[in-house]
Amino acid sequence: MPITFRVNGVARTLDIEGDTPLLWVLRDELGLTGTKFGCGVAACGACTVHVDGSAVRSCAYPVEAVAGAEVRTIEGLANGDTLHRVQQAWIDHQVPQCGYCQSGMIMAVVDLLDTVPNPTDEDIDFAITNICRCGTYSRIRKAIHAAAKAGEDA
Amino acid sequence: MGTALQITKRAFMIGGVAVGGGMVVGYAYLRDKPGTAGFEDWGQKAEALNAWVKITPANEVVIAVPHAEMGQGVYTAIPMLICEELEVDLDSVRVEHPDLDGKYINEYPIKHEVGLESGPILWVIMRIIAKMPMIATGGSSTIRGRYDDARRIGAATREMLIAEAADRWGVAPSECYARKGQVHLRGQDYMFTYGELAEAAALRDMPSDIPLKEKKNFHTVGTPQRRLDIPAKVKGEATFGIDVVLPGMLYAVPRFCPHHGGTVAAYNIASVETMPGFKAVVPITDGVAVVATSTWRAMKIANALDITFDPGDGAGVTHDTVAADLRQALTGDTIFTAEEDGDVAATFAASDDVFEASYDLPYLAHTCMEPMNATVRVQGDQAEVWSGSQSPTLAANGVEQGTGISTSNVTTYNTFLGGGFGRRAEQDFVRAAAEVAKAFEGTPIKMTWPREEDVRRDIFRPAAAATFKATLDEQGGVSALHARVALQSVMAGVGERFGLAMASPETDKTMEDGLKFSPYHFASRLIDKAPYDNPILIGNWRSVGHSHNAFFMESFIDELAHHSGQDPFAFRAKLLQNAPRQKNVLAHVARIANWESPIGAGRGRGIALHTSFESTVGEVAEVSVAADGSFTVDRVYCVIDCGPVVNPDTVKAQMESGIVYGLTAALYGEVTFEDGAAQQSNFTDYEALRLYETPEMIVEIVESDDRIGGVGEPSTPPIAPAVTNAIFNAVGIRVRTLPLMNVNLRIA
Ligand code: FES
Ligand code: FES
Repeated sequence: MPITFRVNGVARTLDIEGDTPLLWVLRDELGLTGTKFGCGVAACGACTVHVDGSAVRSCAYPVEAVAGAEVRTIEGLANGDTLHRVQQAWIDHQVPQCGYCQSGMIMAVVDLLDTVPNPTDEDIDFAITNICRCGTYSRIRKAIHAAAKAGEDA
Repeated sequence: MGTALQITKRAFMIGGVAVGGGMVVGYAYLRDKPGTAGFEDWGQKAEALNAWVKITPANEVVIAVPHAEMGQGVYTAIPMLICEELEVDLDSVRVEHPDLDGKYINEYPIKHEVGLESGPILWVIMRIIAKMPMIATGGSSTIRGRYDDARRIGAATREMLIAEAADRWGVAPSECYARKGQVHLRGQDYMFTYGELAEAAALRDMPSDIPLKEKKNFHTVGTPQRRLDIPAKVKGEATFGIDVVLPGMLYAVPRFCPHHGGTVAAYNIASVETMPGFKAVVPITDGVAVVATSTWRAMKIANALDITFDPGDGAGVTHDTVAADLRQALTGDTIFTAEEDGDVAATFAASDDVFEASYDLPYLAHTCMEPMNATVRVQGDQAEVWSGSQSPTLAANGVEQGTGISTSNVTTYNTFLGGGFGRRAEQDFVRAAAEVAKAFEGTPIKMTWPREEDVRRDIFRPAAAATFKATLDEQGGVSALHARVALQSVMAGVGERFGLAMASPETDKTMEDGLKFSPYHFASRLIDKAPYDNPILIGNWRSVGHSHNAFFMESFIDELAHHSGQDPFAFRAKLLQNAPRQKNVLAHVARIANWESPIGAGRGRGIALHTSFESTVGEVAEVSVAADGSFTVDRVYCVIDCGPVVNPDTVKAQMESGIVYGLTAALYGEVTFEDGAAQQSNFTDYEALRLYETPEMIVEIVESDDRIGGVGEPSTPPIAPAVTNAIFNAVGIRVRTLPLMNVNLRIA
């Protein structure tokens, strides 16, 4: 059964098994490899994307559940050449090391700031449970506060 | 194994005209002969570097970094060193992975370049390189380390450009100077861009022995620089091995025998061949691979496949049997001496206070954020491999093992690595993909390991056990120390997998790394080791032998301090009487951590110091332990002396990274076995530290002019003992085994 949804503003129709996780549809069918596979069981957050504006772990999100929805991935976050303020904060604070977890990390943080524009450390602890095996966490915390501030100033 | 041969590697700085004009400069290597030296000898002399500078007629400066970028910042550090002497701004250069098939220089015949890694990994690479035919042309010099070599490449290139400009102007080169990608004539407005000079400059003789800049004149090296790989990584544009897409490719997913030492008994494809996307089930080493039209379909089929396994040699191997066997090995008959100085036995015999303690550490998985994967295409007697490998040389070896195609017919394309930590210094993930590609000639095969396979079929950090004994003199110094470790030999395991006779437990230096050559003064010392083996695959894990030995040594030193009523910091400082560099780091970290100040009830401070990969790191951890036994690591102070610093921000980032990696292991790291099969399989049962548990980290760098040391690993070894020593300080409970999640810290 064809499933139609929008990805980064573009309508897509795919004829695919409905239980295929959104992650693998993005990566293998649509060539959007910025979203990463880390665990497949919703435990690490590497695959985080937005569905209708909320962060979801796409490895455990069947594609049939996004029918009619708007999906946003890391590739759709910047506005042309202008980076999202979270991406900019990630550069300013030199967050990524290997970088593999950072697409999911950034998407989770964008959702956090959309919901809680000025999060406390406790808010951050509670909301950002993604795994980074390179251990960039303390820079992530600083960069989140910086991005929140940039949002206020904007 | 015979005595260590002195092995030399000659490096040839070579230059030439690039395809399409412009110039290229780099190094080629000639190895004299394969020898039998231990990796410690290599570590000193065989720092491999092959960075290439290409300057196009359009004045574009491209630096090819063939080293694996796995987060440690080499993609930025090598260009920084070159830019320093070449006199171009870091933000004006472009970095690429070189095409190892000679796009840069035609006479460069080495297909598989040396990846940059320290210690044992480098050793393996060198051993494989030594087996491969190599020819090189050019002048000769001896490698002293990449820190100098990269700058030399920059300086030689600059001087060739200056010489060309000077000739065009009819002046002496000393009348000219280079700045920001241009050559200027002193006191005049004349100027050439490098691009204008490059093609002709490329035909000039390459100067040797150009004096390098003094450190005080550096504009780039030693100051924090933004990493060149980060913009792509925040946009999701960096290509990792798992992201490789080739036209017409098929997707493979492995299903390995979970029992190390076991085999596939039987499988039946009838149950799965009608599933969507099914292509084939291909037998591979230690398992099977499902081939399908997408990763997800292959995963689903692999899960549904009716397959049974025979535990083979893994039968009966459990956590408890390993622990018991290690204990037994420690008191067994086969013991190899690693270091002996003075008469330890006599000193103990004469003492009425010999202090003893034993420690145990578990197997650890790597869990690189990016699960193992590789893409291989086989075409006749040729093969190509796309993978994030810690060395393309190792990847080529994997293809050869999986297909029989000689490494000289293998083309490697290296991608970004989603973490390495030693795991990607293996070739099994390439071999598995290659075995499938061979069965699908002409079709690219991308194999992705589910996380469960990545954990169960990891090549683990070995479990280890140790006993320590010491006696003190009247002044509170150590008059005798005896340390004995038992574990599987990492290098013997690696050698077996690469088909190289490399090391036995007797010659494997990683087993005693961090115990031997301790900077502490012991009036007499004996370091020895007990071999032990089982079918569980073991390999390099961030900091290798240091990862367990630092825990053993720094726990025991702490225990000795308390046993003799001395302050753990003051005791260490006393033992470092002959090691000023280490003593300085120790004093520095104690100072910034306010070691002397009171810390409050239920809280504690612990200190640890360790030298590895030619860097010394001191750490002080602060912990809080609640009455119910729950605890937090609140803060970690970290000081490193790594000699000259290239990018200080990267050094700090690597310190933070190594601390989190070591803390994850200290808190949660433990792989247990049943019949040789790992009982953990994903982040659900093999936890990783998360943001909310990450301590505040204060990192400082002590600059020194000593040899340059590594930064990717040395902050990992001290963190576990710093934390357990802090726990002792807080609640008086001595932790002698990890992970801490299994330890009851409730005060009785
Ligand atoms: S891959 Fe989806 S949460 Fe880990
Ligand atoms: S940057 Fe490597 S896993 Fe997060």
